[in-house]
Amino acid sequence: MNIENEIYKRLCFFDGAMGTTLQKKGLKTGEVPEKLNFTHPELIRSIHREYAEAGAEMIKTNTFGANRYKLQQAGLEVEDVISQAINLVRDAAPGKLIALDIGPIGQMLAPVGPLGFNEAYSMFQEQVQAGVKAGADLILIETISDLYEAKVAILAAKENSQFPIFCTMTFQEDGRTLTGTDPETLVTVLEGLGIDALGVNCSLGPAEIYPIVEQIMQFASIPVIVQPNAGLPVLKDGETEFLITPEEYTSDMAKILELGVHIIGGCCGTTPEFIQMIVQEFHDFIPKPITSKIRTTCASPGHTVEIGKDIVIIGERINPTGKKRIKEALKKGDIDYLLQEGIKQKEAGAHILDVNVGLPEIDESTILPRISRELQEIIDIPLQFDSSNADALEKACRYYNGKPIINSVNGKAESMQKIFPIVKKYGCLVVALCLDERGLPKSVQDRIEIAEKIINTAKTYGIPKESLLVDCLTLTASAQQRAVQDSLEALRILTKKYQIATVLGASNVSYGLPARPLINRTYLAMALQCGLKAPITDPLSTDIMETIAAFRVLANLDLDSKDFIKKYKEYLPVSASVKLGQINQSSQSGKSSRSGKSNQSDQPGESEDESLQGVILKGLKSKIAQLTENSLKTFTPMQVVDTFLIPALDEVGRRYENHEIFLPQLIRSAETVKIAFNLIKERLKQTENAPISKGTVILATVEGDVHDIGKNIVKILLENYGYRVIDLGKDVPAIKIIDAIKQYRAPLVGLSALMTTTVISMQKIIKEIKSRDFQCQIMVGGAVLNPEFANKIGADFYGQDAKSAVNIAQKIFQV
Amino acid sequence: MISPQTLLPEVKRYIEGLNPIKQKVMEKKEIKREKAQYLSVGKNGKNNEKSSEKNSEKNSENNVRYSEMDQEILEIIDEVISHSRPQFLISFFPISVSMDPPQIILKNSNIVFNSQDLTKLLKKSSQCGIVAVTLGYKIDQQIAYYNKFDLAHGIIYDAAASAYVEAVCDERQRSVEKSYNDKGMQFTFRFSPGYGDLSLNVQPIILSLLQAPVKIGLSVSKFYTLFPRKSITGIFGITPILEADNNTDSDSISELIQRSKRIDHPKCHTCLNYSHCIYLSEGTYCEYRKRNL
Repeated sequence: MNIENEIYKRLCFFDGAMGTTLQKKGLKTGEVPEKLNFTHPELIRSIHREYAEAGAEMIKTNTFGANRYKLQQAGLEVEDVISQAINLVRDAAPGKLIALDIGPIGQMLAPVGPLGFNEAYSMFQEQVQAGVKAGADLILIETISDLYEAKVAILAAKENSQFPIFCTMTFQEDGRTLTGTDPETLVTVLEGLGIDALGVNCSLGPAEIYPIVEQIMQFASIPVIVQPNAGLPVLKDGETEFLITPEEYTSDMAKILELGVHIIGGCCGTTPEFIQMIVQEFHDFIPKPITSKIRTTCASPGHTVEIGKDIVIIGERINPTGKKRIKEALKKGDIDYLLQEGIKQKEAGAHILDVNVGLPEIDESTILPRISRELQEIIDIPLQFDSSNADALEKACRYYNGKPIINSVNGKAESMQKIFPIVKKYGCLVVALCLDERGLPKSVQDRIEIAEKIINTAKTYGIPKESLLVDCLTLTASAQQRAVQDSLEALRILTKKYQIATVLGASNVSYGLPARPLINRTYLAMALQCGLKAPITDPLSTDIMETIAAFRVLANLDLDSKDFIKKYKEYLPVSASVKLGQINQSSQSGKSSRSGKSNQSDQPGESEDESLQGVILKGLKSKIAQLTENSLKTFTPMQVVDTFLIPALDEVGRRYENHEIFLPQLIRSAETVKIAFNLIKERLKQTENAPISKGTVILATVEGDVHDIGKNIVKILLENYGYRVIDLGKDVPAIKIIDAIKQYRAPLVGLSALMTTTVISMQKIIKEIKSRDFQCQIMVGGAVLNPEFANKIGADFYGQDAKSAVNIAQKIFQV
Repeated sequence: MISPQTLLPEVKRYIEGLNPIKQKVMEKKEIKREKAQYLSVGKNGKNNEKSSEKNSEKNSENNVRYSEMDQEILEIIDEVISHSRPQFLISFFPISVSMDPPQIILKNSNIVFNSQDLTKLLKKSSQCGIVAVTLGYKIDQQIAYYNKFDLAHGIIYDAAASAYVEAVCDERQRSVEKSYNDKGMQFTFRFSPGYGDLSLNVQPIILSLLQAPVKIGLSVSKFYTLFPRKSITGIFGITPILEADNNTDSDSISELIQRSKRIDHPKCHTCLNYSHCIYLSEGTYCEYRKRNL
């Protein structure tokens, strides 16, 4: 039987629960169920046999937890367990399909948990390879909560076997998985990865699972699997029980089948009786045929963005081209600056972020995945990887949690050969530029032809046209005035006739003209009217965002003008807002969080607020920049530092030590001073070229430890006192610290550890550093440490708090 | 429901715990005084009053500055509550207690918890409950976000999440306990890995007993850190109501809890795990101490 075709034609049946059945039969508390494959093979066989006799066609092996992480605790080998389990099914249920069952590893993947992508991949790989060797018929990846874990498992299955791959995730009653994935995103991402069937299992009974299946069915274009529990688990006298009967289960499943599900079976609490009843009841049932849902979607773990219905804004700011500050941040490895650009764009209304790190001195293959990962740690919107380096794109897509966009492919044969396999493998969207070997297109027809060529070639790779986002290329009005209309016309035809989604970078059009924003926003409005679905643009530009907001009203996308009214009910015409320029400027200067605002409203009339010192004492981050600029008009940079900043800082320190202020207040003041310092540094760079850094300090929270508040406090104080801090972050292995010492020639390294278990890593790291010939001293901190222990593990200094870290730095850099 | 207001004092205490200078001062002066106070409870009332008067004068000064932040802290607690997606697991296991060596054995299994403190706690129980609770990953994401862009906010947020996860666990546990109360039984307090001499290395055992990784997405690193970060696990005993209640009346308990809100408490010095305590290292202390003062 060719199962991957069969599941399109009719209803297919899995078996029911193994784990809960074993518990009932006396599995010892804390024992791994896979052990029974060896100790009680007859018991396992009898369960398989009963399910087979009940009518199940696909039998799950007893290998739910047969991964290295779980089995090592029981002293079992993955390959042995899987081959034994497959043999048990083969013996007990001849003629049935053997489904290699792969459950979650039992340790969550980073950043949700401690496990790395590669480590998880190798564990799944081991299982898949064992399954291939022992001769399974298909792979069922099941009960997964974390979309990322599903992706890793699927990649391992695809790259190491030819098996049909089924994957089901498990949902909570609120309609999301534990890590926050909704049914739509499950479909978007897993379907993109090219599996054979997807669906939902465990956690809920058939009644509770119904609304989730309903949503999945709206989006899925491949067969859907549903394997619910026998109702919600109920705690009774300390035992977990599943209470619904086979009859209730069957009648609830009837409703689920009406939705168009093609594969059913049972999870926790179900028994052969359940399976027998559903097979009996439904074996003649003809499910609804599977239809393709033609949608253009990308996704982060938490949600899907559909391109084509409403206007989708792709934020373009993370891109060094023509941006000095980003270039510098990239060169210096100042990832935080890039992250901040990401956050600002998201807060301004971007739905997707374009990420471009292309600079000659940057290794994109390393940096692009890294920025992607760090952005994903703090922002939940999809990313668009923008690079001409195929290797970097491959890596970024592989490690991305979700379904990203690749920017870009074009009509050149070489480009399509390189990019399409990546698009296909990782199930991404791709921006298709209308240019080819002949260069920029000369006419409307050229553009259409190139687009057609790209669409047709994509098809040969198995990439549907809804995975493409065509970019008709914006040319500058000053140089090629006529071509502007060509792009728009091509856009209109592609939208109408080819029904393909389009993107467009709009800001080039005004190059070389005065009043560029005026041209840009007008062009954007024209493009939107021609059918542009996703402008790649600057969401921090008021012009652009106003144009989009107004367009959404006029194009009947913003129903009842709700969004528009909400945003602009206190709109001031341009002439009025010019007068308020100052205010606008300060509110745009960065901070927009609640706390910032509440500080701003603190006694506005108070004179203390108007002085640098007052602003620092109050920690008014939004006001410091303007005041610093003002004082720089009258004083030299060093005068500002010596007469205002340092005394204010000392005063803050004094108040803190006297318990007059509280730690968060101290930190807020320190962050305020940092803004002033950065401005002054910029100024010094322009005028004197004199470095004002007093020296470089490397900081890290050691491997295994993820407590980084203490380290961050030390960092900000050191920065306040004029030291350059290279912050390596948390969970940092020795090798990274050693590389940093080499690279920055730092004379001082600060290590932090907060747990007894991670002080051991600290000791190892110190040993590694000391075994090399560095002119570098080590200070350690973290409350499990004390001076004696610090000395014992070989540290040069013990810093009991942030202030003493500063004192140590002062001691070292004096010499 | 847990209100931000009820969490406020606890959150402040956590933030205070992060304040290294305060801790230092405590070590030098206040511990000495606290010790003296402890030795003379009830005997030297006048003296105590005087010193606590002085203390409260100083405190009231602090409280003024403090209360400026209260509104912000309350808002941040609200934020934590709205970002949380609490997941709770509870299971019960029959146990046998051995005194020599001190250990708790889960019946019908190979699982043994070696701990003098836990054994002391469970010695009258024939059944124990094991719980795990997590606030979910969104909280970690927010903490990472604030630590990068608004550290002050991050410190408060982190503290608020720590206080909230304890409160959630208490609340959920209480709702299960009710059905036991009807049968004349009650729960002892919750003992977590890292309290007293109960090693952190029981963390993986507890999680796999509850199937926590699959059921609530809670896992543990090889360094025994729980992920998501704002999560707790714990073990408690089930005892008949009359027998277990050897505590003093409720007034004095709340007074003791009040007084226990100090970082490095003399009581801690008697703990087997004093030098390695992760709770003290995070600027807090374990529930065990809170109830045993």
